[in-house]
Amino acid sequence: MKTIQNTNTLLILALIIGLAFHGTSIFFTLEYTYDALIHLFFASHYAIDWFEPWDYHWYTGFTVQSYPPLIHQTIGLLSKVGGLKFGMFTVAIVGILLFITGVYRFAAFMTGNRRVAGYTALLAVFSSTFIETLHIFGQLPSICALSILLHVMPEIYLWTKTGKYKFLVSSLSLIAVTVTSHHVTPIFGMVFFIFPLLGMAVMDSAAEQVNNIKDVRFKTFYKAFKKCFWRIVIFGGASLVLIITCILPYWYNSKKNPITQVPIPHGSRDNFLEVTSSGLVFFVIPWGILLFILPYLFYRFYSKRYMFFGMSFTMLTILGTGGTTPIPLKLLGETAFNILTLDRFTLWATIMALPIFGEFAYRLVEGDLKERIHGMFGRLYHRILGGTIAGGLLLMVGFTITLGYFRPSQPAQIKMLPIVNFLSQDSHDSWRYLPLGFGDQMAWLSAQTMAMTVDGNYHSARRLPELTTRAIERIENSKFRGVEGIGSLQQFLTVPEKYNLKYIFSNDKFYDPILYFCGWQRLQQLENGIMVWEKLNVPPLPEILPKEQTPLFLNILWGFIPLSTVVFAFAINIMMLWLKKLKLRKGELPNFMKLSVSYSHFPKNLIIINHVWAIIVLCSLFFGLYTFYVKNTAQLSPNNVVQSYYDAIDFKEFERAHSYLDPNANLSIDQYMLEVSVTDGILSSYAKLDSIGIELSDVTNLSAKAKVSTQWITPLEKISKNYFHELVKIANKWYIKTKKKDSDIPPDQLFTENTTTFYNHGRRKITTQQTHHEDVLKQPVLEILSAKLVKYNGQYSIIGELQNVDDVPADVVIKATLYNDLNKELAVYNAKFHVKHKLMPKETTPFKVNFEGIAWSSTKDTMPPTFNPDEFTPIALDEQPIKFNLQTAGNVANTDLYKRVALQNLEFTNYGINGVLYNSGIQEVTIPQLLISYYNEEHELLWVDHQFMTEGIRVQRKQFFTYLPLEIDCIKVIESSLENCYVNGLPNASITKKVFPNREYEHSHAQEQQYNGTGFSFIKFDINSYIGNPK
Amino acid sequence: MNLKYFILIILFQLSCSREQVSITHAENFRPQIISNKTIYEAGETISLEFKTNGEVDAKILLKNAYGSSLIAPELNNNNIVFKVPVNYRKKAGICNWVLIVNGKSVTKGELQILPKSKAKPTLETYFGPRSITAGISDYSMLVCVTTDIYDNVFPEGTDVLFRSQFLNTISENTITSKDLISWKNIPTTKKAGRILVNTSFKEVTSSELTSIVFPSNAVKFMIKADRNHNYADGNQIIKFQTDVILDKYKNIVSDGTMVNFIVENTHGALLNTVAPTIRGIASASILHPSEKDDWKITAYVTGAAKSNTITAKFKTAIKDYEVIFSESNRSITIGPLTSFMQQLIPDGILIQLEIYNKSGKHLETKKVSSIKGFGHINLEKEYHPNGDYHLKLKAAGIHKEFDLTLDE
Repeated sequence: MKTIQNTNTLLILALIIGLAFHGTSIFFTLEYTYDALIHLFFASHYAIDWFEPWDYHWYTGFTVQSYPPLIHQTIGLLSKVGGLKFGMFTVAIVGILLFITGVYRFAAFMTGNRRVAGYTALLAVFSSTFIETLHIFGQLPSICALSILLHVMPEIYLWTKTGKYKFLVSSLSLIAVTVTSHHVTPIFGMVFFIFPLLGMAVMDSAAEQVNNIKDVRFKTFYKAFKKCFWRIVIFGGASLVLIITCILPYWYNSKKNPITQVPIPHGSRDNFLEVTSSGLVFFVIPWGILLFILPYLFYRFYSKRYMFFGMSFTMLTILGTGGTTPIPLKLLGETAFNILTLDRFTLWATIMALPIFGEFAYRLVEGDLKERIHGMFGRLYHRILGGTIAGGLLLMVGFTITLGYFRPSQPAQIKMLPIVNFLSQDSHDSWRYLPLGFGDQMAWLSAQTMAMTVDGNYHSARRLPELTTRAIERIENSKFRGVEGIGSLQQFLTVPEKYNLKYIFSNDKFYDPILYFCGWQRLQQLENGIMVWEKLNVPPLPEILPKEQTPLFLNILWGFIPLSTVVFAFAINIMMLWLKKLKLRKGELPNFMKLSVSYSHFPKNLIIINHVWAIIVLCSLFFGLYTFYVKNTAQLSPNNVVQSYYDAIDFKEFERAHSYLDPNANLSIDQYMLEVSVTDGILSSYAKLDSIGIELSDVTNLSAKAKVSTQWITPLEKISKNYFHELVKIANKWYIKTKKKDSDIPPDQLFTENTTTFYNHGRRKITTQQTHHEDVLKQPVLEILSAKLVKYNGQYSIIGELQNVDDVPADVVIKATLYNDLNKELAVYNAKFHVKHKLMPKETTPFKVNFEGIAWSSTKDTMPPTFNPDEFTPIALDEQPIKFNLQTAGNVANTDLYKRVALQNLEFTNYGINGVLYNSGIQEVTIPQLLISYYNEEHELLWVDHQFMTEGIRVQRKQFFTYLPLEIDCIKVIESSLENCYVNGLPNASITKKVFPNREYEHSHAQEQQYNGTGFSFIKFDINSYIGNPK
Repeated sequence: MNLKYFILIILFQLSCSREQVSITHAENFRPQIISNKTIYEAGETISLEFKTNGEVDAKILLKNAYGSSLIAPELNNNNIVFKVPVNYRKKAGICNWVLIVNGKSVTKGELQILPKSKAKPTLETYFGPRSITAGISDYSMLVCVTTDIYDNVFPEGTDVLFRSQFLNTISENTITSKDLISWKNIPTTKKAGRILVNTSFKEVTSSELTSIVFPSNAVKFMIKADRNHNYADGNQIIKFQTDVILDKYKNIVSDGTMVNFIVENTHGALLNTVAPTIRGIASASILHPSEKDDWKITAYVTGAAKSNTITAKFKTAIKDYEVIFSESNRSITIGPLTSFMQQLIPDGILIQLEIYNKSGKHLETKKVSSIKGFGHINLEKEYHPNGDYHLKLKAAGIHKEFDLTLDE
């Protein structure tokens, strides 16, 4: 055998290829990964203030001591050289080098064969699990920590076996670096990597006693264990001390702020057979080509020497299967199962398997396996097999690295500069902001601006109960998290003043309706296409914000220890190596190199078993593909065509949708696209298809009828709608028959309309000082006409009516507080959907304030499994509310003042009120909302209800609606008083007296519709229109 | 703050103690003040000189509205001189001093510092609210504070000139300051418009400030309706318009005032259409009904004003139509629908078919809109199996009922 100083060409080759391949491709992938930008944000924190653990940017403040800092601090330090991204890419490249060398060392010590280790290093470069972790997940700390853990393993082995202190020091120095990079890796690494490693070291010691590993019996093993025991204890104790002390502030913080976050669903906990996308990402990709040689892996791992690794490998493999089998849940317990992301187990399993895979490759390329196959199947087969495996490996590499390109997990890259500029202009950073639809790029925005957001991207650090009680990753992408998401978002949008939240950057028009109906208004579109929404009447952030103090010594530890561990480890491991080289002393071969096995006599049976297994895997793969084909081939069956049609509609792929329509109907694609382009409304523009149920009837060979029950998720409500289709089969393909569209034509081709529009300059004087008092407009005066505290269906609400009695349009904010009879405050909330937030002079609006609790804070366990955005959690009140206080504020509004929708017709039938709305103006109304007020015989308001219409109203067109009046005989009016009602801080009574002393109450009464309902006598319809694209 | 002063005093004492001052031990020693001047103008140099018989450990404690300081003396021919620092000299008002010798206060006095009246004064002027309502009761308040260059407010009784302009009138008032400010309520006017004001004091004037006088609440107004023809074809537009809506002072109500037009039809349903005013006129539109109807229209500026009630009668445009059933009764053709001149009605007339089973239970309402004068409705076998049905057809206000049997 050659001496260790000789350079291993395979390793060099692996490093060169690794650098060339990963080092260049990270520039196209890393910024689109899930995690990389989060680490970048943390790095920006350290770059600004190294020793301050408190960060105000996210979650109204959180501590960065909630994540081990080494990687972040390194990026932060490097950012001083070439910026944050330079730091990130540098660390990533270092991570790649560490990984390849780490795997090499791991393989060398496992197999004791440098040739095999070289093969392993080369395979590591192309391992799909590594590619996925780096290029799709972007888990930099995890990669670095794991790589260092691989580096440390030979050192620990040597310490255990030889008891030389230099190995203990070097292994502990590296453990320290691992700990400060990533906390989970060393903890689980201890269990899954180091325990089997110690087992193997003891086993090898035992083998030395008896000269052959096969002769090791339990007694010899026990003897060897007794010999190594204190070494193991010393190492274990010292590691534990390091794990605790190196990131002591982390543990301190975990103790002080235990994670209260409810479990957030993660794909790695899915049943991979049910959720095939999770199966692909968390099972098939990481395992990749290794799946085919599983029998070989288990065969080798269960040889006596690797036995402990075998057990660990088995555990990791099983745990990595997530919810596919009940075993991981049982092994980990409910809590750990729901907190941990189980993909890491697969990652470790596949990394652990790499040396054995390297060994397999070595034996296949130049070892006994090659000879065996030559003997059994001939040379050609060997070549074909080798080619197939190499091809499969490359296929997995290509597939994994391009996954992010073909199925982007992130929205397209957003130019942040306009947003950063907007936030730093005109004191906009005196308020908090909220990005919507930014994906993980929100972290990159936070890293660049001083402004703060209520959202954040590190959910373990959350403190607001509005967030910790929801199983959502971010509010920013709340639409993907259904009811919890939208519900959480709604709380922030309805009561933004609680969080000083004034600006929203919307990169997804899905959220536009909810913003509008919560009283937000569009401010401007930035040059990167992001729409800025603002809310009036939100106070700026106080000058001094609260923070949690941590003891100074912890902050100093946090600032110094992580990088010191690197310096120390570097000095010990690399410097010593150099010194050794300088002394030109021939290095002694590490102990484990003597334990290499000679590869001969590849078992015949194993070849056969592995072939059978590979065929089984291939068959499952083909079966999977076939099922996929049958399920997804659009026109293969009536069911498929309907499914595909709605899928196409859902993703707005109208050309595809058109291709499923009956070709004999002569509906040209142009006509179809035209018809699609003129339909607007919450269903066609803002809805996501949640579920679809297809009932087929009358199925013959050539025709069928389908009743399609669809559930749509919209930002406002969940909408159920049934559709009926006739299906035909023409030339072996199923098609949907077309339907007639509404043929209504508007009366005028061209018409004119005069409108009153308003403009508010804001600051007329351009100054960085406080706005000049001459430029501050008076708050419009509102008058509350009635206000009541009522109880309906067990839920308390404050209802009432108010009027803008000023001469300018007003934006209305209504805040209601409930008190008990001892004037103790019970609940505060704002009016959400049940009010017209923008009022013209002398316009009236009904309003209703519902008191929402923080959803599921008390009923965590019975969280509804399905999506329902308008799910409402009434607040749990300990005491009976008796009184209320109503604070309304007006601010001059100059947008969203479109009022041109007329109530064209009303018809009272046994099955509801049929009505027609007519749009007489020049804007297309995207979502019309009806506000329905109920009155008793004395014209006193009893209840306010609302209904969103699913389709928009085009200009000069009609839209039909049916409204089923409620039965409100059970309503209970608890208090009706205007005593504690205030407008802009002034008592309402003074306004009534001064502005409207001679009010004619008859006017309101005359506008109410008589109706014989259950519990009410009059009803009134108000119309609130959301315009999606104002012209 | 207290700590700060404490530290300052300590520092002062430390700095003082370094000076080599030989201390005269005289228990009842009282230095006599030399200067008698007690009234100064802000900014003027002030020094307090005391006669001593040699070196003494003396300090002076100054105290004015801003706070207190200990001052060390300078020697001047056996006398000690305290130079009052600039911050104490600039602040108008009373400045108290206490002479401290050997740590004991021995004598005290006060200085009166007047605002600097000779230099150019400055004016702080506020006017608000920025908008008021026409009439007799509302007002905006003009407030002015006159100060010298050191921001000392001029004493009570300072006269400031207030000017205000509205239309052709410019009024001037001299307002004497009281409690440091001069103020005046500028009453609203009966005419809507814009009140401009400014203030001046000595040679300085403030910039122009504005309050808008908005019109008062609307009073009774008239409306009219305008339409092309009086047929109920469901497709023409009827326009309602107010005359110029005024307040009780004959001002045109402010632009954007919301007017609700309430239409009561023969069935007692209240329809509505709304419009904001422009130069006092609101005009709203709504479609003709699609069946014979009598409309009563009244407009409101809710709470303030109501219009007259006008009526609009609509004659039947479609007198009758045919309904043709296919052989199986499953395909129904309605039409031709012809209007008042026998022309085919414009596309889009709503045709409703209510389907009941034979026991009178409502099953479904089908709605179609007419194309080229015809409407087609199919009763699919899947949803309406063979059997007896009762149908109510409704189009353009004409109701037709059928009993039919569906088979095949």
